[in-house]
Amino acid sequence: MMTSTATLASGTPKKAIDSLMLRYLVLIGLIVIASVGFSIANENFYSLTNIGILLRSIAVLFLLAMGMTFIMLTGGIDLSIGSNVAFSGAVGVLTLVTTGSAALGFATSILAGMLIGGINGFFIGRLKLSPFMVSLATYALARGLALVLYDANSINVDNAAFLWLGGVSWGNMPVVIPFVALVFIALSVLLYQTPFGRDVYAAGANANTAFVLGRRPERTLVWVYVLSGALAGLSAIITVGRVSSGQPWAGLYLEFDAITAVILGGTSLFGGRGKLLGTILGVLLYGIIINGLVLTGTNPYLQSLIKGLILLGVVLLDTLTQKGKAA
Amino acid sequence: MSNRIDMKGITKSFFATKALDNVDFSCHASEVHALVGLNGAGKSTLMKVLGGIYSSDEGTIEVDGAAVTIKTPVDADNAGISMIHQELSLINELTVAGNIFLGRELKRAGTPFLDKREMARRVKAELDRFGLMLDPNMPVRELNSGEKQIVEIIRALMSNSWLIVMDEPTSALSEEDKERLFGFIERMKQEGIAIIYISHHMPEIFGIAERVTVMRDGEIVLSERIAETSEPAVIRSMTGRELAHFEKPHKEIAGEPLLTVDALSKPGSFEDVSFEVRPGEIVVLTGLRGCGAPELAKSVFGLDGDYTGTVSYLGSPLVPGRGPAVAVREGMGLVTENRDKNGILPALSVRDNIALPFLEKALRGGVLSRGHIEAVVDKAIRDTSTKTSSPDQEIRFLSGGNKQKICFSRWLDDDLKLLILLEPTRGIDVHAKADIYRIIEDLAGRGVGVLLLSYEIDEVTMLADRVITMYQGKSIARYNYPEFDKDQMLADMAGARI
Amino acid sequence: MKLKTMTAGLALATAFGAGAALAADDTLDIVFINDGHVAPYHVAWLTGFEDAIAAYDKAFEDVKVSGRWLSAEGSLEKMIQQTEVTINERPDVMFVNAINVDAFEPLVAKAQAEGITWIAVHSPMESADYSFTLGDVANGTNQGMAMCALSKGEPFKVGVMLGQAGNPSGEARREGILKGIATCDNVEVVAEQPADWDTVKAQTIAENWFTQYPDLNAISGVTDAYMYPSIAIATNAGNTDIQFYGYDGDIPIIQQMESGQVMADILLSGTREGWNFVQMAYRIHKGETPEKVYDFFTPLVLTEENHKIALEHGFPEDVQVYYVPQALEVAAKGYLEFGPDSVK
Repeated sequence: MMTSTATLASGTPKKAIDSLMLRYLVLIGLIVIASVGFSIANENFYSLTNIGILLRSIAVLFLLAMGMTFIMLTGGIDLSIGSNVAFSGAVGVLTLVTTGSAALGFATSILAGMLIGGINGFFIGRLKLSPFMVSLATYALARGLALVLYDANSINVDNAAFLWLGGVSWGNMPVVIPFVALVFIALSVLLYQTPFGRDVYAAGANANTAFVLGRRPERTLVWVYVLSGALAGLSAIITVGRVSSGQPWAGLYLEFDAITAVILGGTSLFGGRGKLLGTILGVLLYGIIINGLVLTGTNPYLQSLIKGLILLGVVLLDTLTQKGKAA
Repeated sequence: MSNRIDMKGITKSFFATKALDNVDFSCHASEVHALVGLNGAGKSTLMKVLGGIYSSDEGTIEVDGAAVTIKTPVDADNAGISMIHQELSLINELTVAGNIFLGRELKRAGTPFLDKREMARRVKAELDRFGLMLDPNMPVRELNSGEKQIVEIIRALMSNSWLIVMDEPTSALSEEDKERLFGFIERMKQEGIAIIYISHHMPEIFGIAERVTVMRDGEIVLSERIAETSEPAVIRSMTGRELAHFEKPHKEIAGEPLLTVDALSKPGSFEDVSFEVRPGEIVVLTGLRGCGAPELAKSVFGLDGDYTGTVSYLGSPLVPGRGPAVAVREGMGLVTENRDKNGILPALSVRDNIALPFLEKALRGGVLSRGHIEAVVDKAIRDTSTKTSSPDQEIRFLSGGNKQKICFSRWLDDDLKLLILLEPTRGIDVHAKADIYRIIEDLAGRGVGVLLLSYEIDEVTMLADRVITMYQGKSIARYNYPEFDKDQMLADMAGARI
Repeated sequence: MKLKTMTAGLALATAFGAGAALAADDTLDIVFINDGHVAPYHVAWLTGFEDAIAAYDKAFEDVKVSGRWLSAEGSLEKMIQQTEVTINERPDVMFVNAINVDAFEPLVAKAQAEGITWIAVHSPMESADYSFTLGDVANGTNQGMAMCALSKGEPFKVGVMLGQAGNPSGEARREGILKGIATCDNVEVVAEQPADWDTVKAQTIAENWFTQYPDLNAISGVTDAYMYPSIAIATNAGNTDIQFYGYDGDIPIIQQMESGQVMADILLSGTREGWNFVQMAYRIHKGETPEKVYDFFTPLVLTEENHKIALEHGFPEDVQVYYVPQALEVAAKGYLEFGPDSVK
């Protein structure tokens, strides 16, 4: 008895750094439980077709949530990404329709996304305004621009090259999934292996200190929002491919899904703590639950409740592990 | 004289660690009982048991010979015991009197309205009793930290406390405020108040305390009347060894100046200050709080560009307000006086905290070399004897002294030429202090120029090659090692001439 | 606690799975994918659909009728995902209220390849097996013409609250209303504004209009959801002269016709529509072939008295009108028109 408590006590400081690892194990556990549960309820859950559908439906969320992870690591938030998907999609589709060039369409879509991100970044990083306020404004702004550009109507797209990324599957594997994996690897290198990535953590952990140490947190913030915007532009291309048309109401509520997934993945709302892996697991869990609830025909009124409970449960878990640390 | 408070056989464990082991501690009326010990020795835990924040596993507490139960902070309050904390708990927006009467405000008879005049009158009477000059109607926001502390103590006394526990009361005070606090303590003694005084500062303890008790590893290792012990004996019992007196190593200072400050002025902060720092030289700015030295140092570093005059570095003048990024690239470092505000990144690992300023040097083929960073971080931890379970440890779990060592260790780069230090030993224990002094001397020995700001006169004379005293933004006099006249320096700081 | 929720979810899910396993030989599985599920019309619609499924399942012993509905909560991406998952489940009939029909063309082909009957809801689709439409333009025209007739040739100012920009149903209703109003020249449209099918937005717009146009004679809307706040604001302001022209056939709005200021409504009634869906699916299952573009029967609702006044002021006699009592009866009881008895 005595020895066991002694080991526990001496292990306590180490636990603190492993709390993220603990979170990932919990997420993996939940993913397994949810998968097993849903496959008992509906044998279709494990069908390759369904896994293809599932992955394709969360491809965009993977991208946006990774961008959101960078932002939340700096202690910020970006509410504009969903609207930005519609806006940058509009720019891309209109470019495609007028020039007929898919390459130009891709480029302008991503640039348009970066433009909204740049506006966020300028106001948040340079003018030091609240991320919530600024991105709430660009949330409305980007949606309005999309409606104006589209004249509130959708535009059909039949350019095979433009639709390829979001629309094509190799067998049951949507091509967008390997693409998302590549983006994940690239962003991981950016976040963990470059000074920029360290600056992202530093800006969230204590921007004052980072500034005194000769870093440029204000510049880091600008680029983080531009990155999030670029990912929204990329998501717009995938969305257009998925629905074979440009839609003024594309990306509706995606910012909330992304924020939920990032929080599920253990990234702190206050910045400085979190990893991309957690976000990937968060998106996966979120996607499996949504897919499973549809598959099992769960009452939609109940679906919202279940989502809320899962989020609350994870927050509760956070508080409990936090308390464990303090003792 | 009989004990007013008597703690007997107090034992307290956290998991398997005994934080307090059969501790006896007491205090008389009209007595200052100093409680000393290194961080983690158990003094805070003992006081938290007395204050009702922790309850002890074993032991009894007696007030005037009768056993009392103190399970909650309210019990302690009711028993007349008050803790004055390092983190002050006043509300900035209220006045002095408003804070003192917070929660038990006086009302005008028969109305729900506050009787502000009567509250102010009573506070004034209490302040007068202790010979303190303070306006009861002044908002607390406008007080300095010394005055805030006085307000806290007055609040305790006016709620009928007879035992005041002070935890490092002078750590944030200027020399001037310290003197006033000591005067106040003397008056409290005359009024029969018992005081438990937690501190590391030997001169303070030997100046005001009647008794001193030293704790180490949860036990009492020394408890004597002040007259029957000595500073070396107390220090020896704290650390278990005699603290080697810090000897300034001999060195030659030569070469062109690294930094030349010429006629630097900033309205309201400093005025017409000039000095030089050469490689290997330790130049110390000192004065009372508000003397303008920290603002001066920050202007040199580039945090603030709103000045006139010139700052030349490595022979060429610097652009005012160019920002720390340029300063760091050119080999300047800064250790700020406020660790939590702009010294550390609490959520990040020790590794990230150390590696941040020189990340670009770790780039190999466009990505960070983990090996390079490991090597730098390991060396930094070793060179500063920082205690951390691993470089992955989040820095917020470290003690104050170790955090401060990391604030230093991140600058130990081969390209560092000038290090600016603001109050480098503020709020850390003697043990860590000695390490910090050694690091500073090592750096100077390697040819790094050091510009240091300190308010502690002993620290100033111990470290400096040259001292510049400041008073109200002006540089008063300079002293070269070893011709330091402490009395004259103190007079300079106070704006007096002997 | 979280684990318990999961277990509850599992138990629930298992019950559903088991239900499917017990199916009779002849089964009819209907899935209805809608764009929302919280607006009053949606609630009535989905409830009618659920009730009809249960009634048909009970009424016919030889067919096991089952069904469920999904809500995309206004998100096109979500709707596409739900449709993909549903196709993978191979129900017999799918009703899809597509937020945008173009986006669903590839999915219609996919569903048909799986042998699923695709019924496009409201916005017709060429590729779909059937389209279930509302005749929005014609309904709107009826509402507009009723306004013309009931204004009795006096100068008359009206504000029209529209749907979400770009929404086909809303656009068609607007087109119809304006077309109906254009049949006379005394009615002037002083304001048009989209309220995004949102009651709260409608409230703000109504408040603005009442301030901006103190002499406003009527508010027309493309949904009854706009009527609730507009009526409440007028009542609170003591304005008893203003008239309301609704659309949807919500029971509380029809109820206000005899006594209040609601002059006309279009009897869609979500409940009726839900029942009509199941009836249509059943008929198809039994080998009947409805019109490829199936128009939901949606009469104009007036009081008997107002109908007379309208006819006197040139309202066309061939427009089919339900009076309030009849409208209330069929609106609440979808089975009267579309229940199992209607196909026996």
